[in-house]
Amino acid sequence: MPIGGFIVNVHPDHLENSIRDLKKISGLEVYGSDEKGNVVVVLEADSSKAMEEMVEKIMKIENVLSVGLTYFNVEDEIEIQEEQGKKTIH
Amino acid sequence: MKRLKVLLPSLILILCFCAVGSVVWADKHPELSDQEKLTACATCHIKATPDIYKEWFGSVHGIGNVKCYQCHGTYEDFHVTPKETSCASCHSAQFAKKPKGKTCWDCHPAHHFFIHK
Amino acid sequence: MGLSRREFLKRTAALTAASYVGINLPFKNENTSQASDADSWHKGTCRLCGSGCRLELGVKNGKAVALRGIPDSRTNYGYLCMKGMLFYKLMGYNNPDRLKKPLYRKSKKEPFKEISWNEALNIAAKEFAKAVKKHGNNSVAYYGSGQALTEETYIFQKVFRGGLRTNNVEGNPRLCMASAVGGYLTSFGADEPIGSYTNFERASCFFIIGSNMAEAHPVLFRRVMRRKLDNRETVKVINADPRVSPTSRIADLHLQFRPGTDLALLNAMAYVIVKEKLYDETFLKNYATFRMGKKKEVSFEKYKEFLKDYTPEKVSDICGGNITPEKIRTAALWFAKSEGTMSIWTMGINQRKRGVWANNLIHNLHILTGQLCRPGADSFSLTGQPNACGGVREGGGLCHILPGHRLVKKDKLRHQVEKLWGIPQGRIPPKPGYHTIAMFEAVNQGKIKAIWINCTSPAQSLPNCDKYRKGMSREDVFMVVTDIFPTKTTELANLILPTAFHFEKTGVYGCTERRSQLTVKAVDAPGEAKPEVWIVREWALKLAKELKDPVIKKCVEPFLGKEPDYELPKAIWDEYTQKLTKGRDNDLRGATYDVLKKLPDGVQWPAPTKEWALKGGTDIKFVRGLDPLADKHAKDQKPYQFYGPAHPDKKLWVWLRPQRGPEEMPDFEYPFYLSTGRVIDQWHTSSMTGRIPELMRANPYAYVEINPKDAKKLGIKPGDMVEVASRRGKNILPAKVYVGPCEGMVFVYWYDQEESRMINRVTKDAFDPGSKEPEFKICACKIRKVSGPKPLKPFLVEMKT
Repeated sequence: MPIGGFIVNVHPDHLENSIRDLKKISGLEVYGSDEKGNVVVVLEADSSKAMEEMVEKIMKIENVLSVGLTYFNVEDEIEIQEEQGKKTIH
Repeated sequence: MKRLKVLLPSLILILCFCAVGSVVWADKHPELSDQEKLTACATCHIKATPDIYKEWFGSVHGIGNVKCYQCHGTYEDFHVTPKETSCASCHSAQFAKKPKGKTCWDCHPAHHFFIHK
Repeated sequence: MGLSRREFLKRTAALTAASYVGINLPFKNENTSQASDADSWHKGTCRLCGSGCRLELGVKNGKAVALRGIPDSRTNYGYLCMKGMLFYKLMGYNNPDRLKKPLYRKSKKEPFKEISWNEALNIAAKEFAKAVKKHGNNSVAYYGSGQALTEETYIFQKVFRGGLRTNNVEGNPRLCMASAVGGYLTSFGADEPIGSYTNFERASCFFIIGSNMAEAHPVLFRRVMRRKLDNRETVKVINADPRVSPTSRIADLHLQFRPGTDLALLNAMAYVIVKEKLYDETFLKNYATFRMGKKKEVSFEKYKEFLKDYTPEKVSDICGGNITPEKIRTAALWFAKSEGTMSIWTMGINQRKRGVWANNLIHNLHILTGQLCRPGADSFSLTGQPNACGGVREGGGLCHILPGHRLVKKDKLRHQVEKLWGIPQGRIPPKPGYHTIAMFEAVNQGKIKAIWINCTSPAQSLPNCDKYRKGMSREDVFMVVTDIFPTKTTELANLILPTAFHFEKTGVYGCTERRSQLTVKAVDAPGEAKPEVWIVREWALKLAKELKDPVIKKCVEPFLGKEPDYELPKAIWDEYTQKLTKGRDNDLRGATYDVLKKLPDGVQWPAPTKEWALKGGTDIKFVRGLDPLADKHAKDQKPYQFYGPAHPDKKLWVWLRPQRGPEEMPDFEYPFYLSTGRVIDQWHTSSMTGRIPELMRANPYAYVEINPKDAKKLGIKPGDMVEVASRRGKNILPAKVYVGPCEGMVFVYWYDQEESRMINRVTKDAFDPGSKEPEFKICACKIRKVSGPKPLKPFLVEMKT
């Protein structure tokens, strides 16, 4: 299950509303924000593909200006894929 | 794996356009050889980041010989944005009473270290 | 705690994101945070210079994890330098190089073998006993350290003097502050500074000579810097030094004189003060006399006559460098006229052939102008090590002094000590032992057969060290070394005893400003490392048996059965303070462990009572109302009472001391002055700082600093490998070409352990006839380029077993 740390940049005047909207997305946690409109968000998804879709969802929220990835961990996804890889080889 | 390869560059792209600005990809110093690591920070940074060097040199930290690694750590423990605990090593009283939600450098700009912004 | 891997990753993700935009999150991940992450914080003192910065050690699961300053402490107000921030990395198992087992070899050619403590102490006792029986009491010696705790120095010297009946008790403070002791005793009649750090915030003129305090005492320098930056127009800083250093950055006036012309410069300032009538006539009349030679009293007129040789015009010629008559006049004027002038100096003045005289001449300026005892006015020598003052100067750690500022040669004082120790009168020999250079000369000659070196590395830190390493390598000299890391000195030992480090044991350090501070054990020492106080006690018991001498046992009897981590050092401290400092000028009876623990920053002596000690003790000596001993010893109504034990007339002495150059002057063959010093990131022989990666990388090896004009003449470019050779030895070092040293002078850092960069193989072992302190700061050398830049590696001695 990949985990990603993001800075979501929202319009500072609509910070509270945007955070409320963000929180509606399942697998998304808001960890903090500042008055400049930076919101610290952690996404947890079943696959990279699913996370990509979540990012697209966030982009569509009103007053969201940008989404920036700062941290990305896929260790267990790689493990799973490696496991599967091994299986197919043998 | 295939998807990942697609996802990562696209996310990096997003990152580049986001409002965070000139964000460094990871909290890491560019790779250096062991020999290169035996160089005082300022030796390179006087050229690599001349403005920052100049600001630091003229600041109370520069005059008082508070060096780069005291805030940013060394290669094994490097932080582009210092941990505030390293401020607290010397400024623990100020650290304890600083306003909530503010970083030290919100009010004391990094490398200038004026009393207040 | 109890965080799942996923939870941990999520937190890391959030923290990383937050760090980009500077948002503070209310949690921290265990392996990413440091200072705020400790289970408990333990008060203590920094160990890596003489400032006495107070700090707290953070401990987590029994491991040292962080250090932070104590804001309430009047020494550092919470500030630390990089060394103070990072030395927790040397504690416990944090560093793999720590010595953990006693190591022994019969011959110095053999590799070391691990042995038990019992075997180790038996060997040490047998070898010292053998030397005493075969070659007499003066064939054994102790060489200690300004980094040893007071309790350690005290118990070592007690066993050596009272038990082994020798005054061969010395220590590395001889190499750094002996001239300051000589200066204070001969000028003011009492050792150690009159005032305190509090004067940093009250002075309006700083005269910094022979000190690069920005690097050697960074946290004290911060206070001077702050004072200057906050009062740019009204506070003046004069920096006098043959080398432009980071300290010079805050100076209004930089006096760059040729090495060895300092005495002339100081006399010239006195000349201006007298000529322009800038002296304080009332102060002189009340408190001063004039002296020359041994201590012959002379008149003010005679002094004026003497100064005629030191007109600014004459002296600017002697001094060379950038010195002009005008600069000398300006310096003298600022010095005399300011509301409060504070002189600050360190090794540049002390490590001179005439170091005591140089000290006298600085004190002269203060006595003449009355720049003493009032706020901001002080003649203040900085000390290089955390306990050179407390342990060695006060605790009896040099060959001529006993605890409580008592001279060995004074029968009455010596007998006092014997009585207080409960040992027979006459037990302590009346003759002082060997001073440092004489001691290692005696080792060279085979006169000393067994020597105990504690917490210092003379094989690297003695001047002209190759000469003395020969003696230390002798097969017939048994050498015990107590230390925490392998050093150039453990390489020459027969027996290495691993000791507990700071915060792994309990004891007191006394810093520059007469301030005693307690550090209580907070973490366990690694392996079998032990506190020195335990080592000495157990060794003394075995020694008493070997020599069948009950008096040796008597020396440690009050300490038997005490638990070594706290009770034992406390018992030693109590004996020292309650018995040995009673009635002395460094009266510390009020500064018990309990009192010291109550205060954030310790106690300044004189502190005869607990009540006085709990107020912090004495800020300024000799002032009635501020110093309880000034009231006690008052013989008239004058506000200042100079009751120091060395001056029977209870006056300050202005000395007539002529200019004297260094022992070795540059000549045709060796045309350059060589001077040595410190850098901020490394300390002493780098056995500790070299093991902290941040510090080692900032200064991985020693350089030779060369003035650009000299470099151009010799075709030397930055980074070129340069040979620095003297009549004694040579180094090959990379060049740093910069406007630091004046023309005709090169400067080398002395911490590097690598043989070809160990500058004390080149320096000269001439010493001051009064203080016996060597002239590290000046000798003659020649330099030449040997190659272009080469990749170099840092070097530290490793233990081979």
